[in-house]
Amino acid sequence: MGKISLYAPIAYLVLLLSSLALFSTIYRRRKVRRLVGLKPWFDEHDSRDIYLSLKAQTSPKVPEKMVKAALLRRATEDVRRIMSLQESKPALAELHQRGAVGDEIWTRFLAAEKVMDAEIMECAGEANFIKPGWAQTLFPSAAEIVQNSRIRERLAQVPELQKEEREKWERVRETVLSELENEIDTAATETEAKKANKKKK
Amino acid sequence: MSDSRYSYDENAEVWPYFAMTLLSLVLLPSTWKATIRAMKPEKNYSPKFENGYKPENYDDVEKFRMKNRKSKIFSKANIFIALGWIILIVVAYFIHIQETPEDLKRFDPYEILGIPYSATDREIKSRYRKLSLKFHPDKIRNIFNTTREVMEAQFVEMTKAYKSLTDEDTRKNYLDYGHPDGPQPMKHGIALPKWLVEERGTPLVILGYSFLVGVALPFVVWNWWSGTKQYTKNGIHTITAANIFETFAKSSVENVTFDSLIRLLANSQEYKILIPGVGADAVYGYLLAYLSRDKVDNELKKLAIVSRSVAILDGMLDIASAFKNAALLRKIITLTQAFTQALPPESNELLQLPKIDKERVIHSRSTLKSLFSLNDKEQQKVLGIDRDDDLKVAQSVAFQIPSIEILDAFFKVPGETVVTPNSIAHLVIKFRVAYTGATLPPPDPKDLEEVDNSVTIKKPLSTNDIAPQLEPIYAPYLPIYLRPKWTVLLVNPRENKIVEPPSTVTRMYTDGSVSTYKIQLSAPMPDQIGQYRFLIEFRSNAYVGADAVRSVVLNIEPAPTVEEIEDDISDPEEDSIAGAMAQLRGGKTKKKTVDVPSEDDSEEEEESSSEEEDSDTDINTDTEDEES
Repeated sequence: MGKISLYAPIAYLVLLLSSLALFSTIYRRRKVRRLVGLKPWFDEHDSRDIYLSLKAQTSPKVPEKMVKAALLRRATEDVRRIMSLQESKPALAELHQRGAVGDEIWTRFLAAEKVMDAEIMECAGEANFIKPGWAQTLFPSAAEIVQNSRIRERLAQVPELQKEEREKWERVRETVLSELENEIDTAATETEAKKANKKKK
Repeated sequence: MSDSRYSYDENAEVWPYFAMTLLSLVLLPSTWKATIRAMKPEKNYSPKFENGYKPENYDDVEKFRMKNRKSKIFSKANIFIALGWIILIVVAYFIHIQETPEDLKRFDPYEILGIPYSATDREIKSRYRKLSLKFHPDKIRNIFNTTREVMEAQFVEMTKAYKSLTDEDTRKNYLDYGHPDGPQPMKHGIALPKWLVEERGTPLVILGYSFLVGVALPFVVWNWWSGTKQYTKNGIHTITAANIFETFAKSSVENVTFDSLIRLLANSQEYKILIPGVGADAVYGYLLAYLSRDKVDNELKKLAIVSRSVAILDGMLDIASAFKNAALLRKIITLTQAFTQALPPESNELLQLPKIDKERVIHSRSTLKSLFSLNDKEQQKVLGIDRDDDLKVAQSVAFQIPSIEILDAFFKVPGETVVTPNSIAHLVIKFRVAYTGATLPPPDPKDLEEVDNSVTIKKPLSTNDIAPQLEPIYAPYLPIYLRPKWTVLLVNPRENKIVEPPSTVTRMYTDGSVSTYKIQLSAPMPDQIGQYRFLIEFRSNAYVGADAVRSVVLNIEPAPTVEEIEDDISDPEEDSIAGAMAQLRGGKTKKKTVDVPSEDDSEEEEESSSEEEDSDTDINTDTEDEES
């Protein structure tokens, strides 16, 4: 007793706090590294890159029409991505809540949403820079382009689908026909057998 | 008062008990778990399918099972359990050879006198008299084995015991302190060996303690946590799950083919863990080889890969169900069937049968049903079988494959006769198991009714657990045990989307009697009167060509008038509702068929908000179909 000096509790506190601080810094650094290491949800945004390089080009200067078209392309890609995110969000939220997918994909998805928000804002800013107020109409027309291309895609699939369906139908038809023939055959043989029996009698 | 003191376990009297309790606390549950794990079946075996048929790679399959079994029995956990039991036995032996110290014995007057606890005063007295006649020190003469002192002590004990039962004071002492002489020196033992508490043991204790709290506990918790984080609720790896979700989310679901599903399956993280260094392409090759029943160089590797595939497909189905697309779900279930029976997806169902000529059957258009209508000679021709014995084997399977016959299906609100708008209903499906070989009589109409009783009104779904479990399946190529089940889909045919998450049926009668399965609908009924058409699909995870589909019509009707009058009287506030009901009753005469369930509205709203204010509804619905 009495041997414990005043420094003991201080040393204890210092040790405790420094270990906690060490833990928290390491933990946070790891978290950041993990977030940085996440695979982005979407691939490279090519139309954005094209727009940026067109805008940056000074000699020879790119015609304004081309820049505008590039921005419209960029907005179209943005709308496509936003729509795809919106479509899969309820499914992912449900699965994540149920525990059917891990946390990582959820984090990635939320990050993608944030990135897309920033991208939309930037795109709108660019549009308003080219022509004030254009952002109001840029995205609706981009949405129309997306719709249009989707319908076109679907239309292009029709011949293929038709072929498949026709094949399926043919298969069904043939099986049904062969079954029918079989039945007729058996019925015919049966009646013949009956006739033969009657004759015998 | 009593002299109480604390003492440590110097003679190692108590701590073995303590150790034994602790050990058995851990050992018993873990042993129980291990036994259950070991008892799990590894083989799809059903006596009725025991036909002696061995697939071409039977030896390899058996070898794989043996290996599996060995690794299951000699797992790390089981070795630890065995070690634990050895320690437990040693401790128990230690306790056994140790004598109970004298002072630890409890004073029990009944035991000393040798009488039952229920003895009356008179019995006690007579017994004491008898004993004292026999054991009184003055009477003892001809006993040689024991010394006089011992005998005297024994007699004193007896007198004490007698007194403690008859004498007032002694009895009080006995009842209060557990001993006729009054309070005994009390001893509080701490079940720790003394060396642990002595000065020289201090560093050891501190070291052990800090190891336990600082290292072992965090490690165990971290291990458990990362383990649970690594695998999803379905038991598939999170990377696999994320990969599956991403693929479905990004590709248009309609373009998903069997091939792309197999590729997706081959890309699973499980295979990378199972066989390090194996690429997705190699796994894909093994999977295809399994499906076409081709032998590969490393058959065991193939079987190991295949043994995981069905579980991953199950997880895939669960993830796909969030996308609501019925076509995708059907594809995955069909692929599961293909993996169970080791045949290419959407191939002829006769390929499931043993002893057949694969080349001939693959191009045949016959089905199990059409096979049944043929005679033996024709069946041999269709199946490419030469010998009669072999045909018998094939037939034994062919006519034992269960298929579902949906007899009736209707929506029901517990305790009501009709389904009213916005009510909470469940779907009742009446079905029975039919075998290709047997023709069943038409069902009794009484079996098809659903009569409410007090139990079913409270818990409508309680009837789902009545029927017996499904029996094991026939799958000679599948190297693992597969729990047979039927997945039930409720589909809105117009959009080809499922309305409820898929549910599984594992219980049904197989003797031809009618089974009932109910699905609780999570969404309330539509608020408009009319007819809504749905499809019910029963899809097997085991057999090809055993599925059943039937359409069901949901009739939303206004509530019967009786209730309405009640409402009117009891609640004047609900006048408006009564008015609405009258309106609805008017609408009853011209029923219209609406196929769109209520949930669609919200989706459309969401979409249109993201687009222009009032775009063409025509275009809108079109895209919706496409995105699905």
